[in-house]
Amino acid sequence: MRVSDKTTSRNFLNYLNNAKTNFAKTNERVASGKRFKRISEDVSAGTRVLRVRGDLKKTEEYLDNVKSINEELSVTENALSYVNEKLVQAHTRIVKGLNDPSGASGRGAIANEISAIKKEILQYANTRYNNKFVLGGSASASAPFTIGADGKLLYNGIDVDEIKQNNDGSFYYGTPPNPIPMDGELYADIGLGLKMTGSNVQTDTAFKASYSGLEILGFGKDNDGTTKNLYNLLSDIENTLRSGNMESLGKLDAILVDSTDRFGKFVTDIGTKTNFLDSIETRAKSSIDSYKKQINNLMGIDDAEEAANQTLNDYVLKAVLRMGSDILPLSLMDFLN
Amino acid sequence: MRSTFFGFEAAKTAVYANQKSLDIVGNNLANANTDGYTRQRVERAAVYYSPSASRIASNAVNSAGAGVRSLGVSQIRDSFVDKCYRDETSLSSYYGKSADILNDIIDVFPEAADVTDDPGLTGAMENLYKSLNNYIQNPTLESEANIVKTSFANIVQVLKRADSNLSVVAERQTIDLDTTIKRTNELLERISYLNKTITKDASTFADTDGTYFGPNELLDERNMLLDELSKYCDINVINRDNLTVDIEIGGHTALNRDGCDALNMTTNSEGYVSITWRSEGTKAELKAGAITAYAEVINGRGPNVRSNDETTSHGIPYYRDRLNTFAAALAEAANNTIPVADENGNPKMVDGKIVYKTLLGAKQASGTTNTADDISAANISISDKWNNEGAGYFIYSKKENVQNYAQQLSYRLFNKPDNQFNSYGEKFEGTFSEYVNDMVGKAGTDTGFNEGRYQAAASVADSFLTKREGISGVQRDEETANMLMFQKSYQAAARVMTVMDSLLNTLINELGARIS
Repeated sequence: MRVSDKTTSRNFLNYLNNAKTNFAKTNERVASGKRFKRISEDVSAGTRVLRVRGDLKKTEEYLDNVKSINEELSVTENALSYVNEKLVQAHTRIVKGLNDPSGASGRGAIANEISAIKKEILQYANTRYNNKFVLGGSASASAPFTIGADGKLLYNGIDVDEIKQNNDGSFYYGTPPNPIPMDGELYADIGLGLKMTGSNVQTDTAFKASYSGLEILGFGKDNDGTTKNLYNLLSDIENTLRSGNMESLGKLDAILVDSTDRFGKFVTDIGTKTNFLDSIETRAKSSIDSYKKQINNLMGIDDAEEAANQTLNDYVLKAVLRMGSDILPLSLMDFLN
Repeated sequence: MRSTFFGFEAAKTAVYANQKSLDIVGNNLANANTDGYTRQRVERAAVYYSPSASRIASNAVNSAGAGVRSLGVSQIRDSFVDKCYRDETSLSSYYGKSADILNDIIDVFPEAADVTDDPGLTGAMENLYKSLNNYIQNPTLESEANIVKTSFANIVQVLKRADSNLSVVAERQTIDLDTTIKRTNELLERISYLNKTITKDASTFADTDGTYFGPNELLDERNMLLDELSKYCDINVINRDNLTVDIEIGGHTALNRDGCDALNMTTNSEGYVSITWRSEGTKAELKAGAITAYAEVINGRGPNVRSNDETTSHGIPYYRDRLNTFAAALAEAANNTIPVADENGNPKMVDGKIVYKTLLGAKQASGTTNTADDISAANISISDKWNNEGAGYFIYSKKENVQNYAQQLSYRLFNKPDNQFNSYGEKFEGTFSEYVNDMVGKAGTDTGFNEGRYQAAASVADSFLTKREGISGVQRDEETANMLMFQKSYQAAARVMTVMDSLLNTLINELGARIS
């Protein structure tokens, strides 16, 4: 084959260019720790990285959700424990009132105590976590529990005694039935494969992150017209104490004891939920690790291989440069006299 | 009978031929590094004297040995290798230019330019997911609603920026294409002019037997222009006997002895370009070269082709369609999930249909938004309603019975596996992030494919270039060997003259003297 001088020098420049490009590419890979950057360099790995990244971000959000629900639950648990304590305290005072020989003045003092307990319970019922009222359904803007002009407890502005429950668990009031404002159930996506039917979350695919104060403090009236709400019940007890109707007081106290039992179940329920969330948290963390590992597998570099490449590139570049000093070797011309 | 000085003539022709050959060796060495130079050599033939053509009968022996004739200076070139090289150059510059422009398109999508980077549609959607989920936990909090609104505004901005960056890429490529077409026309004119000059000169170089020895330097210049022309379009060069060339581009005679045609580029109102022949106004059917790459990317609308101006490759209009489809699907989801509440907090119904809140609209020239026009990446905007009524318009009002609308929206945008993304011809079903992945994946695949083909074609073109240099390039060893050979031949011819001179001396001086 006839090799012209131009080919020799052109080829040399090509070799040099290749050697320098490889040198720079390896350095970039080592410095960034990534095998590639542009999706066109490895489309299949690139699109998989994007997909895994999407899963990773979602799982990070699940983890955030789990953590914040857990914190909220612990605040709720505290509030409910206090309320529970106050209910037990109220019962003790009522028992004392039932057996109090000091008459109307003694009962009046106990009625005052019940009134104070009632107010404390109201405060705990309006406990906030991160701007949100933990027993207020979806309310964040204003306290869910307020006292109406007649001294009755209102939930998001509606008299709790007037509130009734549908078969599906939702609440309503009045005729025709009206939904209770801001009492929607809030579900958090914690990675259980969220599914929806219309605007309703399929309850087994997400975590219910809201507590309706109605469920916890009670709502509506029983058949003989007695309130089923703890606050209103305490109001009735307070009034009965003042009026001195001991028979009625005994009945109301029995209802209070029942309600306190029911209330205690909510506190235990929270404990169960916390355990569940803890296991979800562990799972989310291990998923995050696994996603990060996947991304690293897809686009990370093999340190040992790159180190070897670096040495080889350096060697090749030096060799090519050395070659450059005599790309045009001696020719016949050099031997002429 | 041999003439007395016959032998001198043979030596003289040899002296001349070797002198000329040495000149050409010098010329070859001088131009060893000149771009486009083709090595030359003096073509020689032994002088043949025909006794039958003589007016008087003569013996063939007497006229034999008349010396050497220098026919002309030829250049050593293989037109087949030229053709192969140019065909591959057309291909490699087509793929190379396509890859260049597609890389510009990739830069429009930050997640494709760096798959680990956060910005871009992927990042903006991730932010929206986060803010929606925070809002879901606090659905009556204005500040959380505001963050959701900001996230939407961010996506809208990303879409607009991507669309306007695509426009910038399109504009830049259109200007580049225009420049390339002007250069192509200039090359055609210069080649046509050279053709004419070469014909004139070639006739003066013509040998008596009709062999043409062209003006080699002009041929070299024309070859270089032809090489350059092959970068821009696929050319078929037809060599004519009188050393002129005709050029066919995409089956159309772009240049012949009568002159040359020119390409004409027009841009329509939508930015599509069409390339026609100036003479007939017919469409230029180019198959390779940079011009085709430009035109395909500028006009390429993939499966969404709607007119003859458009091509089926995945070009700028295709990716713009994809962005528009994304914008329309996003607006469709955002504007059809959250019902307007009636006075009781229930979804408002008109004619048996739920009335939804409008979160996103199409920005008009007047500055207001509406949803009557098609929502595209260029005009998508936060709706006036949402801007005027504050962030909380997104979901709640104080009277409203809050449903899981935010969750529903989040579900639709991030979980629902069968969102429909319908463009003019292309259909996609999946989540929003799958759609974005598919879009950038396509840009990556197209670019990777063109880069791969470019490297293959460039390497083949390079091997043809090496082959051509092997034939036409100057090599010092060879020239030196030739130089020595011509020098020795010259010395030999001179020696012949000396011997002749000595013979004649014997004949003229010594022979006569002896008689006297």
